[in-house]
Amino acid sequence: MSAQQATSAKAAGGESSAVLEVSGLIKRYGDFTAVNAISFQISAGEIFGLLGPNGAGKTTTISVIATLLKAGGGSVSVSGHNARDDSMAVRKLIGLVPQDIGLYLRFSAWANLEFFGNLYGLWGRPLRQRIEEVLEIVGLTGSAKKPIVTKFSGGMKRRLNLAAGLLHKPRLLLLDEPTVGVDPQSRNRIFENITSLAKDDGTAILYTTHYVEEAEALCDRVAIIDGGEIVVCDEVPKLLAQMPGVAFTVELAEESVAFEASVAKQPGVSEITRVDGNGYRVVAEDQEQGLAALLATAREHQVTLAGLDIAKPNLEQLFLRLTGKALRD
Amino acid sequence: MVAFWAVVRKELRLLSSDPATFVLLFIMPFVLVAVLSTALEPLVTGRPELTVSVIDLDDSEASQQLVTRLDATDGLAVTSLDWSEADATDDHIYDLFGDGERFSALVIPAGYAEGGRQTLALFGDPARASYVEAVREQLTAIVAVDELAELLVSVVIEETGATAAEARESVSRAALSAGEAAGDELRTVVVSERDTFPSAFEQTVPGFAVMFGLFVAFALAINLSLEKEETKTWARTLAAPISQPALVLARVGVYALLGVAQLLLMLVLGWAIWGMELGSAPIALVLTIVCWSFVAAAFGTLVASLLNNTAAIAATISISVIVFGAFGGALIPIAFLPDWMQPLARATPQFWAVDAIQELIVRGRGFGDVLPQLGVLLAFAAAFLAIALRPRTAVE
Repeated sequence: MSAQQATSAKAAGGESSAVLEVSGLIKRYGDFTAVNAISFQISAGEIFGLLGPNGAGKTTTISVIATLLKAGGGSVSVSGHNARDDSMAVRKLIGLVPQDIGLYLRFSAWANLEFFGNLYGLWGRPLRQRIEEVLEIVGLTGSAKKPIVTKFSGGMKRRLNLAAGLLHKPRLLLLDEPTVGVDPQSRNRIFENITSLAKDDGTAILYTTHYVEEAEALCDRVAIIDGGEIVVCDEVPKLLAQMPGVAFTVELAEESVAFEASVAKQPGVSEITRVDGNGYRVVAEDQEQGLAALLATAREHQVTLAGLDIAKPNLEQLFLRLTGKALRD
Repeated sequence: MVAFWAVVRKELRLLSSDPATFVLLFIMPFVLVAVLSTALEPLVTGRPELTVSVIDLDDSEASQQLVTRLDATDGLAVTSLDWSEADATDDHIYDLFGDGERFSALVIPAGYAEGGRQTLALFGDPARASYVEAVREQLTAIVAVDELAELLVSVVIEETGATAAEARESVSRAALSAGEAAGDELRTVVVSERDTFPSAFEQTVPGFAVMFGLFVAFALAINLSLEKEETKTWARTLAAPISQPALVLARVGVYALLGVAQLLLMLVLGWAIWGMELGSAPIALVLTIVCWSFVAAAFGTLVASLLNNTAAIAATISISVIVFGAFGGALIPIAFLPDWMQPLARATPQFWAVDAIQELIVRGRGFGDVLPQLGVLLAFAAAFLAIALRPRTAVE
């Protein structure tokens, strides 16, 4: 699918354009509910982020979509094929890039790609051409024949991990935290690859991460997931719009009950939340006004500020506001 | 099919770059088979000669005759000790066994010739109880024959009026004649179509080869577990459009092939080094080895499907090699097992594999004779795979 086709598919809207449809998905392990009735769709050419802390249910969701786990309830379909009833058809349409490096480290990059290409029915000249293409995409052409275990850095392994998921030109690419432990250069390269796959090739991409910056920079839409449930799901600008003003994180040297009450009454301060210990998160409509209010209140109550951090609203703060806990807890 | 052969090629490529697996599958079994077969050779070919130290305190014609008869007994070697009665204390006799070479001593007490045969005392090293028991059995038989002869002598004297010497000579002649007649009739009965009795290696190597053939299961299960735990390629492979049975069969096929190579190498080396005969039905032998190798590979798949931890898999299969080897008659011949263990042997695939190979090599039988064993082996392999491929989610 070309970028234009993808765009028109998205523009058409509605359920028919969705490559992935997850509806009321439930996954339980005994008494523990890992995923609790989540629903979302991803269209062709769209990068959809699943943002949440470790243990939120991101990898479980991807495993069910990839047919590695059976759902306890709800449904998953890829281009109209139900994952439970038609798993082979679904597997042909998806490319899985697992969180762990799923490669044979004693093999060369080429041998790895040859094997995974074979698994998708590719062989002979078309496979060789496709291997050359994906190596070019991830920038590993010069390292194709080198053994991974001795010659590849962590970033190169991550890029090869991505390449192995692209061989069969999947309609849906599942990326499970693909940049964990990656150097900035490799991370940028991976971002470029992902953006190009979506916008140029029309690939639908499900991208899980616990890095807010990645979700904001890459994703068209983001679902914030916590405790197996989607807390909020929308386009990134709309999510950020829920967090007007500027946020301060204040750390007091000693506890002061009067400080919290006093700050809340200051003009322009819209919200104050205790985070942990003597820390507070304060949201103000204006940076200058908010900062002045904080300093004045500290002076008034003779409280020493041990730390002060100013940040424009981001998804991490939204997560904190919605769940009451930090994303990286 | 492209995916199936890709898995086969991948497994072969992984194995060719893993020297540890080759040591496990080819060097270790050969060394173990060589050492164990050599060590057990005397046990298999017949009992070793039993030695007994004799302290003759009677020093009479009767006691000397007893010593001579003991010495003439097959499998018994007598060493006479010139001890006085004062020397022959229990403590002193038990001191004999400290050197590890002597383990039994017979004390013929003074007055033995005067009818005190019941006072013969046999001392034994408690650490070699089975050998002492064998000496006791031989001694009891000799004494019983002596008593029977004395009874016959007294009957001859009473019936014919002959002197004691004439009566003894008459009984002795009759016994010799009876022995010669019996010698014509008694032959070793060997259930075999071969001309010669099988060598120790021909009897032990098949069992050990089958037992250590389970190393194939070890290699398969460990490598599969490493794919899940270490390289993390298992989940990615399962997410590809290849069915789980095809994935498992490709792997089982490769490892079964390794098992065939392992056993054939073992038997060929046995033929080249120890002069083992390999029977007259080579195709049946190869088919037996193929069936056993499939069982071993299927067993590895089963264990890997039940346990998700490399250490647990290694422990389970290591124990299985010994336990099933012992129960199945691969480690110890079935006849040597206690009565209660012998019926259990048939519940192990090792029994059927060893039985089939022994039919072909030791008993010189042909293909038709081992068909039931091959059927049972294939049933074991199918059952193991059916359990391994039981319905469940892929990563569970």
